[in-house]
Amino acid sequence: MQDIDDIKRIRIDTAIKEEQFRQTFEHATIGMALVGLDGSWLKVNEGLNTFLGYSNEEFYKLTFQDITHPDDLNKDLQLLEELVANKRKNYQMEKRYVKKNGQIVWAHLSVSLVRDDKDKPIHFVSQVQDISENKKLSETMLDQNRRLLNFAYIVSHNLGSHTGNLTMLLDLMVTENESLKNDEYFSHLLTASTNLTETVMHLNEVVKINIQSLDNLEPLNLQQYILNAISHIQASITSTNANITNTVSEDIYVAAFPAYLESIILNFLTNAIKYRSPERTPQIKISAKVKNEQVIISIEDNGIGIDLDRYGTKLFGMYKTFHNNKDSRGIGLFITKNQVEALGGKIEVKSELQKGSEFKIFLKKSKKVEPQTEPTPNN
Amino acid sequence: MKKINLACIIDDDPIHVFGTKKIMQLANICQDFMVFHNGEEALRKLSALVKGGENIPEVILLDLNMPIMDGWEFLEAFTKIPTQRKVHIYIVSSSLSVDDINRAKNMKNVNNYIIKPIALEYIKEIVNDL
Repeated sequence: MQDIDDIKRIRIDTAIKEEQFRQTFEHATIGMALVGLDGSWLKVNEGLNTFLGYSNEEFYKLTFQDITHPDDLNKDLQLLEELVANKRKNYQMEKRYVKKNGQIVWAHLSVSLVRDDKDKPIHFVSQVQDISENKKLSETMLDQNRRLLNFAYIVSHNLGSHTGNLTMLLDLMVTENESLKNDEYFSHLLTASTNLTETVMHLNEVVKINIQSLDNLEPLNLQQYILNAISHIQASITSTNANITNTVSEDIYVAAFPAYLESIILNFLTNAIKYRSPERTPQIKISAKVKNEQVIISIEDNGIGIDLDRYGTKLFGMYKTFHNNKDSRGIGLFITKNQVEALGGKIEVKSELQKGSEFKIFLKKSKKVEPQTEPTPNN
Repeated sequence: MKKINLACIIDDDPIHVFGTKKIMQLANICQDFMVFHNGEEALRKLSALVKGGENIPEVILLDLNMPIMDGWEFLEAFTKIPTQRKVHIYIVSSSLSVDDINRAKNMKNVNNYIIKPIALEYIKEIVNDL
């Protein structure tokens, strides 16, 4: 009794499984097919009919090779061969098919091989998913990026010539007529023009960062750049009695552009001093460690801190300031972030109000070390 | 301070031309100007002056982006004209493009690259180079 029950159960199970597979195959929204070892279509579902536009009868007269874009065929065949040779269990690729109406479409193809109990290959199971929309979208995005950059470049260039003219004309007016300085209209015009020039300059900075290519990153000695930055702001260190602890090892080299590394370090150090707490002597700790292929620079201060819950997402935005500091311009962190990202790195921040902030700058470690590289002079 | 006898401004922007002339006049550096609004106009007039053996400008302030013939095309054509007199050519452009700046620096006939707006300090440097 027991045995017959078991056999019956197995039969029922198998029937259920077969039915499940049939249902899945037929009603799947993605295209599915059983494909012969020679590439002929053995069975296709409705999803594939709809996607590629061929009826079942038409499919059965074709092979997948017939409707694969010629540029993608070799790769597909090679993967198939590896599958048959048991070098892989399955494969995925993005490829183009030629639809019945001649149109070319992108698909994500996923293939596995069914073998009999003697391990002899029987047929392939293919799943074909329409990704034309995704492809179009990413191409559109690339295109938009290019256009945006181009736009920013033109805007900054053209704005540059107009603001230049304004500055020049106002300068000349004062030269010819000194008394204009006391004219309230004129002095407001002058301020507006100065601010406009500054904005255009910042815009130019951002545009410049985005058109740099990463091919010519140089190995730069981190310690030298830090010492350089410290000596650059020595005056404000002295006047604020700030205490700087620098524990960066001398043999760390990062891959960067000299001007960027200079500006990044300088910006974080200036910020650490600028946002000091009036109640404490400023303590600034600079350290660095190498992890995997990255250099992590940490700049820690005991300043007034940033309310990250309130401002966290805006911290690196253009023209965002969070303090009533008279020197706050908000452009510093924005440019710094752009520069770090242009170097393939990132910035992390931890901060607590009235306790201080820690900025971590992740940069690429330089592969080749050339100790003779000197920091370029600031200009 | 030395003076420039005759300066040539090649620029399609009338405001910039006005300003450049004013700066040089007010500082009493130059009173005589030749102004052209594109490279072609400048090339035609200047090459005629050279051929006629007439007085040619000591200094040329050259814009890059201009209609009809731009600054680069002008440079290429003008530097091929043989002349005894040394002409100091300065590019004055609002282009911050590194490509433009490097291209200018690599041309032996170009003295310097000035980013607009032009200011008295640049003019003084030009005079010092003469």
